[in-house]
Amino acid sequence: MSIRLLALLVGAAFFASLAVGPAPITLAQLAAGDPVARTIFFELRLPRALLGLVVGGGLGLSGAALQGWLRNPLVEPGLIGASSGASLGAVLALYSGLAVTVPLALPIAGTAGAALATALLWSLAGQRAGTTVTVLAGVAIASLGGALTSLALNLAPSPLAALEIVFWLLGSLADRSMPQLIFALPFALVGAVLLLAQGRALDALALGDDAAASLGVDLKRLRIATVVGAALVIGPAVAITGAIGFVGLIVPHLMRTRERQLPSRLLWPSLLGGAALLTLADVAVRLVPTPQELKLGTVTALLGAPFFLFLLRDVQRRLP
Amino acid sequence: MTLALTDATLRHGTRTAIDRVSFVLAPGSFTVLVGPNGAGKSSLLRALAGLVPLSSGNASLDDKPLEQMRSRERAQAIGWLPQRGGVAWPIAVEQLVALGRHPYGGIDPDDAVAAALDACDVTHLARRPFDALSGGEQSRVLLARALAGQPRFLLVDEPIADLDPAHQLDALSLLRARAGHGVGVLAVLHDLALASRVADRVVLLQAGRLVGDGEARAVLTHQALRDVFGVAAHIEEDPFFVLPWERL
Repeated sequence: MSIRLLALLVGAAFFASLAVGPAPITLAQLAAGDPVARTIFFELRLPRALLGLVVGGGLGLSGAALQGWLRNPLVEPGLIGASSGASLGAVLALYSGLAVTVPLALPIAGTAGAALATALLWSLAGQRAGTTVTVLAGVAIASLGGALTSLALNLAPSPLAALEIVFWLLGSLADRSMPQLIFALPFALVGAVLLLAQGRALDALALGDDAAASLGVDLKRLRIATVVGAALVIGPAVAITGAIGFVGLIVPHLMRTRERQLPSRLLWPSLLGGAALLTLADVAVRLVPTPQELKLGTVTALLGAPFFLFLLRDVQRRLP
Repeated sequence: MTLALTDATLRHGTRTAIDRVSFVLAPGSFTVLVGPNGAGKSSLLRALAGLVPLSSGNASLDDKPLEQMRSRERAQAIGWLPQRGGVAWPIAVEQLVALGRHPYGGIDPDDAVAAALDACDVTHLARRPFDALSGGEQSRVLLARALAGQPRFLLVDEPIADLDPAHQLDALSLLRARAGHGVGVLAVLHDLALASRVADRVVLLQAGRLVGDGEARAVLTHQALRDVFGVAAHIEEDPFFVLPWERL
């Protein structure tokens, strides 16, 4: 799919997300200044649609960048530990009740968690560590974050509190506020710029670390930019939405055509593809008539896992 | 205009890969580096390319220490081709060779890329994905990648190991021609017969130490082949070449 077509798809998904919801509102109502319609549109639909673009685009982009950096198509953004750090921070905010009393406690705590996880990764992986050590450290941090999140659930003061945490962990774009979105946006933008600037260095890395270094790539700077960029894009976003699986893994696969094997050619398409896919999935959960709205993270995992198996079969067929 | 190691030592833990090596690669020279497995040939190349910090001693380009150079400047001057390099993605050959232009900023195929493709006889493969090529074709494509940057010094690690005889000769005459145009070429070769035929200069490495350096007929003597490689060889004088014959 060409970039132009992808951009159109993103636009279409965005408008669909603005138009679809349990309470029908019309353009005429909005134009007439109907207060209910305006509230629904500006405080529910708009942040939800924008958040879909930011989170989906961030997951797609960071997935593509991390796959390029680790030269491995099975990498997903959760691998560097930032998202489980963000989850833990957000869960602690929910657990302590701060999320209710302090306006932006959830994203702030989540972002702090992501920052902490990234700092921990840095101290573990050290100054001169290669990609393998960095990834192993990331996996260790991710499981530690997961374990601590389980502990918080285990010690939750009431079943209701536990249920709230579980629902949040499932991942959703519903009922997130505009201030939350505005909080996450600068991080996501800086992270995205950082990642998009690494395209050529990631290309050279396809030849191996040493060959890339011999071509003038600063491996250390690339490592910092990729890890920090991905953490900025994912951390604050996950702190708002909860973990949304498989998007960061699958989108780069969908976009990786014959002409887009070089990581630099995959970054923009993955950003756009992720934004479109997640927003459309979020429209779909609103259209499916279930007694309780399906959580987006549940749906992406439910559709993503079999689809990924299907992709793997395809990859296997192409292997000698 | 030289690439040099001065009293260079490189240790990996307790193992010494190269041991107080002093070596100067001059422009226009086709130098072949030979030695048994594990003698430190690849380490020497990596040290010359500025890819590993030395434990002691210096690596310098035109008397300027490599670690003080900007990485881009160094990458423009020195090309390095690793032994059996892999490529992570099934990138089209033309795009892959264009990665060699990285030190100059562009990644889109240009004249230098076309020339490198042509020189390595892979122009007809330009649109094929790298993983669909045979081992020998892949080697030629990777050599083209190293040539595409048009470096002043070219360090190639076993560039002909996977090639058929015709392409081995092609690759060597190609490297020769580069030297003829003023490039300093250092190639690691295991084929002593070819090495002795094509090299301006042969450097012999044993257990990390430089034990021979000079014209092929001065370095590849019966005694050196016996002491360093543990083989008896046939040596022809005119034209000079060496053929390892049996293990001692």
